[in-house]
Amino acid sequence: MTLPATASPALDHQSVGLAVDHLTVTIDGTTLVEDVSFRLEAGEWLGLIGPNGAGKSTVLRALAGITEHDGTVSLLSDAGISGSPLNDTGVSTTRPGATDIAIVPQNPVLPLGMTVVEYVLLGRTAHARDRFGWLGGESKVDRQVTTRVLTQLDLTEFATRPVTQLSGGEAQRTVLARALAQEPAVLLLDEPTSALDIGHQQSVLELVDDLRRTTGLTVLAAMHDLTLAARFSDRLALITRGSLDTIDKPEQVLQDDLLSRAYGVKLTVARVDSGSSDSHSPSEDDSQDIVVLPATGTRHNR
Amino acid sequence: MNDVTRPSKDAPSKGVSSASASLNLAADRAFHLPVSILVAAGLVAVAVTILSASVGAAGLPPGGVLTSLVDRLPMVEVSSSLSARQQDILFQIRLPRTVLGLLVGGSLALAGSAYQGAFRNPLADPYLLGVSAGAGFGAVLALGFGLDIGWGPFAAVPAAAFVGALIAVVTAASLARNAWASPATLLLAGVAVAALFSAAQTFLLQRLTETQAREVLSWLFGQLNTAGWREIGILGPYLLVCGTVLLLHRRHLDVLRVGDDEARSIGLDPARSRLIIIIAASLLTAAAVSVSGLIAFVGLVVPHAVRLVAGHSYRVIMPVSLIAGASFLALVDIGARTVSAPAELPVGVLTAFIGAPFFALILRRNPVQAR
Repeated sequence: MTLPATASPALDHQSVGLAVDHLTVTIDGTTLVEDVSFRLEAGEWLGLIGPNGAGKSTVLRALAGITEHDGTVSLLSDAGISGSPLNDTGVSTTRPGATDIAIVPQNPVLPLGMTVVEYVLLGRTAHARDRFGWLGGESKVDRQVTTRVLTQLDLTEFATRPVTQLSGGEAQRTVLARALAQEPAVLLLDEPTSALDIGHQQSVLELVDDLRRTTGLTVLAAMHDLTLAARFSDRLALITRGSLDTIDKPEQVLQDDLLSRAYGVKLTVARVDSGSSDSHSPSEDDSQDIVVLPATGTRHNR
Repeated sequence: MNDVTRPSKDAPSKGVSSASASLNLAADRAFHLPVSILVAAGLVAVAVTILSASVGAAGLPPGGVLTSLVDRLPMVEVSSSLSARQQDILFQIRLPRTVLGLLVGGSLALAGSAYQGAFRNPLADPYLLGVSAGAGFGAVLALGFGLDIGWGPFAAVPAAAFVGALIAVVTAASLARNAWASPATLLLAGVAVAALFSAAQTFLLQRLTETQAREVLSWLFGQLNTAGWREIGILGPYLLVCGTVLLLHRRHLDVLRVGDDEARSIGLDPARSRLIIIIAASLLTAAAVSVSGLIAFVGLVVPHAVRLVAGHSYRVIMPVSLIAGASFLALVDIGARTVSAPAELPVGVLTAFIGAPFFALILRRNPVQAR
């Protein structure tokens, strides 16, 4: 599902990065994420990896404004961000909202009877609010963006279909369309492929990667599949027990000892020739994939 | 909004001409209210109004009723066939009752759809947070124990019912921790408060004489007895203000359908929206109950029926429920005052009689869709 070369940019934003400083999330007295700081460069794809319960989703939910958090999250831009005053280090001083950051949730709620176009239109909520206040309705612009995103994601034929009657891949694209209708600078993906077969995993990630290249979208994606994470990410951030363990290029993070320690089982990292000439791994010049396998033998001792 | 009616101008320019027709159709549907459904509902409401104004102990010719009504419109002059006495019956007795039925039915159905959306619960109705029990408790105090907190246009019973209803809702909301962000907790608090007020109401009912108790019960069953236009003057302003607030929030209810977390991520503050919607719907319900007693089922059934006919979007459900609820109650009230004339059936009993089987029928036909 590669985008046509003529696809118009979905976003009018110039590339904008994200600065996360001392992010701490505490829910009902339990600290789920503690003092996580990182920079997400403009136009970068940063992969969040780590075992279940390490706090990947919590980080994303905090950045998306779903859960309360301590610490600061701000937009980063060399050129300045329209409407947001910048301090002298190029950091926006206004807290980013739903028009800056959009999330594709891990288990999105697909309301009964809601059509694809109605669902995608929900992504315009914050824009309608910013223009007309809380009670604002959608405008011509909202309609344009909605139809453009549907076209871009090849969803026009499903526009009138109820979202509950979509296949897994179609539903994933529809949720992605809602996020893109927010016209975000930063797109958060929470396990975007966990419900998809291997073909749809690949095509959804390629779709996002194409959008990133054509529109300068900045991507932060929590991913279970380390091979796909390595292939699509410029850098990987390894989260363990609520803290940032390592953040570096995929080949630096995906090391036997580092992963074995993080996941609590003995893992072996192998490199295989992916055999594709148009590899979607812009950070690497070679066309090798990194494959992580459970090591044969006994459990690793923590 | 008028601008978006020209779909061709808004179509994406490149490479989509084949798909753009169906896409524009879909977008039209998402952007516009279904005019045909609204017009049909409005015509039904007008027909019910004329029928209701014509039928009664002294029958009036529907044609004469229609011309008399049209004559009252500003800048319209038509001569009506009704005699002066018939005109009096129409404007002092029949029409106030009809209009009250329309207003109460519309209020309950609109508030019901708002509650269903705010709680994301298909079983939600306007009495969910204890409005009915609180109002009943107030009415018992006023009817049986001489409590009189009436002021201005509010007589003792409506005033007590109104205040009782609000006390119940406020109690439920303050009992629930984090009420507006957690509808399930609020709902349970409402159940607890309703149980408490019902118990108090039953306790008080037992202390009354049989005559007093009967009077209280007939209030509880719901009725549309009017004394001229006074009740309309009480409920009308609430419907105008709360109804406007609710209709303006209809998009919020659509956003809430994806759940609070996702609503927050796309830029809505669910707790804030829920707070406003529930306050407006509760005030509207309390005002309706105070003038008409407890009329069952309208607030629950009408939004569901509308949902089955007009789709699942609250931007459609809310305005259509308002009109359909108005027609439904005015229509049922014709039955309430004619079936066993000259005696009157409590209209609240009749709405449940008609509403329950109707609800069962639509549930049977659409077991999933009714959710």
